[in-house]
Amino acid sequence: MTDAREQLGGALAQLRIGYRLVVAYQRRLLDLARRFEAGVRARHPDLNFERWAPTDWSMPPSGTTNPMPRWAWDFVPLYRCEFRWLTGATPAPGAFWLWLTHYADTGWPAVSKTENDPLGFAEAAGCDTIVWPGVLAIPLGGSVSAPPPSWDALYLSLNSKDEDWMDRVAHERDVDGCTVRWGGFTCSVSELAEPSDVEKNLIEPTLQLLDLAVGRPTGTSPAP
Amino acid sequence: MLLAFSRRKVRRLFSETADVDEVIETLRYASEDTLTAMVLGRVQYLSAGLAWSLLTGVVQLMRGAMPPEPQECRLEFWPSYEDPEDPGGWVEPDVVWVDPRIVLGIEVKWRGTQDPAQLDKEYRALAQAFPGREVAILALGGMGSTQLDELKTRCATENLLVLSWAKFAQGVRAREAELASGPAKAILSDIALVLAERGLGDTSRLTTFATLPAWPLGLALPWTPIVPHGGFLPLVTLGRHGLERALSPLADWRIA
Repeated sequence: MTDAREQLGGALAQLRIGYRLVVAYQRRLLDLARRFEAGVRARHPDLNFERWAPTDWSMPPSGTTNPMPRWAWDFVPLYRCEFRWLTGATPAPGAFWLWLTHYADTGWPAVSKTENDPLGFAEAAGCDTIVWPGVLAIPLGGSVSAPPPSWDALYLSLNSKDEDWMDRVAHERDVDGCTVRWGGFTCSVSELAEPSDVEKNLIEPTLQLLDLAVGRPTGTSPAP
Repeated sequence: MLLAFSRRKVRRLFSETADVDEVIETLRYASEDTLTAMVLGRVQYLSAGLAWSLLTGVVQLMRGAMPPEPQECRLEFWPSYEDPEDPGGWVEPDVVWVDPRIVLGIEVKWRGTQDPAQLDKEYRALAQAFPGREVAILALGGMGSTQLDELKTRCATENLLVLSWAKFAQGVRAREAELASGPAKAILSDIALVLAERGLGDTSRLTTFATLPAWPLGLALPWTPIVPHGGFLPLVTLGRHGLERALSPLADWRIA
């Protein structure tokens, strides 16, 4: 056997390990999302799942679409993805749009118009695996323009800064005639080992943020 | 599901898209009508006492009085009644439990929100259609704190019950656990499965990250030692550098 063949054989053995680990991880990630959903729904029974999607590339192609020209990333949609829920089909006072973004690897380059080669990423040990809850809400007593915009349109008009989604504060602004509050925070998956960790480090802070976001409006200043 | 097909609740989905996979996804995970058929279509096979306890056992009484337990379980799906305030108009509750003493209209919402005007209209139509019987409306799903406030202030229905899907699912699982094997347990088990597919499953048995196989997983497997470029360096563990070294020959591998 040549050196090259041996080397590739070794890499492929580790690839098999990697696949097994990815599937084991994804099972746990989906269950984390279920725990998160159930925890929020216990306080907000009208919470409905809206959609999920990879954040930085396309969904896997359907059975009749030629997959060969597509990015390989399209086939690992959960690597960087978001799960989304809402309590009202359109924005209304007291309604909110909630999402949980998952980055399996913060080493993925932030901006890329081409198919990233993961073999060139920064060393994995120096990166993190995170989830990132975010909330966009119309507070109780807040105003909504008529007809109400879609949540997507509201989010795009908000044109917010990334740091606004990381400081656990419910920011507030008038957007296209709607009173909008938004905020979020990041959490390393390493802090979510046990169900009690998920409750303490993910669900409770999300519920607190939702309380801030859905509570009474405070004018133009951030909510307390 | 047959109920949803026979009442032409499925056909309209095909008029919205030609993508069969999308229609199947909608039927299974998103459609309010198929959820009604798959859940309440099974509830009707239960005894009156068990079915009634599932629907009213943990219910929130918003207005009026709790109706007495019916004698028999007879559910009608998407029946039409004349609208007393709109001659020639019709009202179609999702499900109506018809009993010699009581009539319970069930308005199901999945993803949508309850509308006080719709509930009032259904109440009036049922009261007209079943004179002398005790009529109540059960709003199943579609309620947040805003909708609850609206129902309290704007709904005129005399006997109004409210039940969230999460509480209903909890009740189904609790009753299933209590029952010994038999037809009722099988029916409840089926209902619990349908609800789990809608995100209303039992979260106590979910996996946790604490049980993720610890790295290095490879030690348990027969694997070929890796010889990196530049010399023989057997790797006895797959530490973080091990994986990145392993990727190196993969980076060099090209088919075309």
